[in-house]
Amino acid sequence: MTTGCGSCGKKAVYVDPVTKQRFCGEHFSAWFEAGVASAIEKYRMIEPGDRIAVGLSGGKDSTVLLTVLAKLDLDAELIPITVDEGIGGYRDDTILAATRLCDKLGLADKLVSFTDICGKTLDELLSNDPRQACSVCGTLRRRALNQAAREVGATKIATGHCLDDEAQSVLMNYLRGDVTRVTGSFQTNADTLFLPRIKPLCRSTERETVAYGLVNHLLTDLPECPYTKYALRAGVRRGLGKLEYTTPGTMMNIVTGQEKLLAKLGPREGEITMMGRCELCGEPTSHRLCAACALLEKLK
Amino acid sequence: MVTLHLPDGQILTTHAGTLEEILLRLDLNPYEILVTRDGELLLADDPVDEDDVLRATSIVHGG
Repeated sequence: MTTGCGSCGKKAVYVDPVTKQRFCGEHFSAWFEAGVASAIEKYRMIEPGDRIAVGLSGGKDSTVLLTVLAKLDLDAELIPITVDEGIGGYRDDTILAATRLCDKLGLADKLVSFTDICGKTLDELLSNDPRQACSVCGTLRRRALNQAAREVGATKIATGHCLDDEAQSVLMNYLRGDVTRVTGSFQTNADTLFLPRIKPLCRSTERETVAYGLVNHLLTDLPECPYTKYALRAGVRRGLGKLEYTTPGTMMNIVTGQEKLLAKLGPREGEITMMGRCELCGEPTSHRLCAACALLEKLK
Repeated sequence: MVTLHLPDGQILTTHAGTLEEILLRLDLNPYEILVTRDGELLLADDPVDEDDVLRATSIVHGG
């Protein structure tokens, strides 16, 4: 026998698996938006007058991110940026979804493509080895987003990374035995060179995020990226998804545990790696070439 | 039979039960799948009847 929303008694459409709190669509949306607002405040992500470049792929997470940011009473300007990687049979539909969302919200979308930044589409870059898709795409997408954000005079870049992504990253650092990242020991002057990145959905699970999109009819049927099957984190995601089902709150525990570890270790002492500029493009890097230029040289 | 449309176009069928029972029976992780019936989200303990048509949305994103 099911019961209704804990606030109003209407048919419940979402249950928080940790607290067992039940929500109707309206109260779930209010709860989700309050969670995002709380994360923004807790981590001091946005200051009055900020110009926030919002990475908008047109997929589920970024669609919800832009919608919620537009709905919250933020003293900041939102500038959606869509990166066209050039993925046949996939990207055209998601770009259309991004454009429609921006039209609905009355925001002007800036479109930037891999062809703009390196003269080739992702499909062309990967013609010999699709297995590297996610690392190539991720590196060039960061470059495209950084470049476009600077062009529009943004002060920060917001991405749709949610709690699941954060937990997967923490776990992957352990699985790789990357003690430097686990202990936050790699110190650079990157903060002074890159636009700060913010992740307003970092305390919202992927499940909550997609549920918000469904409840508010924001999502349309879109094709999945054909390269997803090559994603390195797919196995970690599947394993964590199973744990989250059997033991709700696992992902939150991983992320908050990592924060507590870093707080306990205190300020890191040691040498700060000073970043310079890439010899080819001028982007910040601690090497001769930045990651994007090094990758493009390798793919030549 | 209950009909479940998956995001990749596959169509699965099974017998009635709660949503959670149905997903587990079809070897799908209930954390990773959200299911709607007539556009309304279903909860794990919601009963699903024979002849119901369900649509699954995967929470997993690409890239």
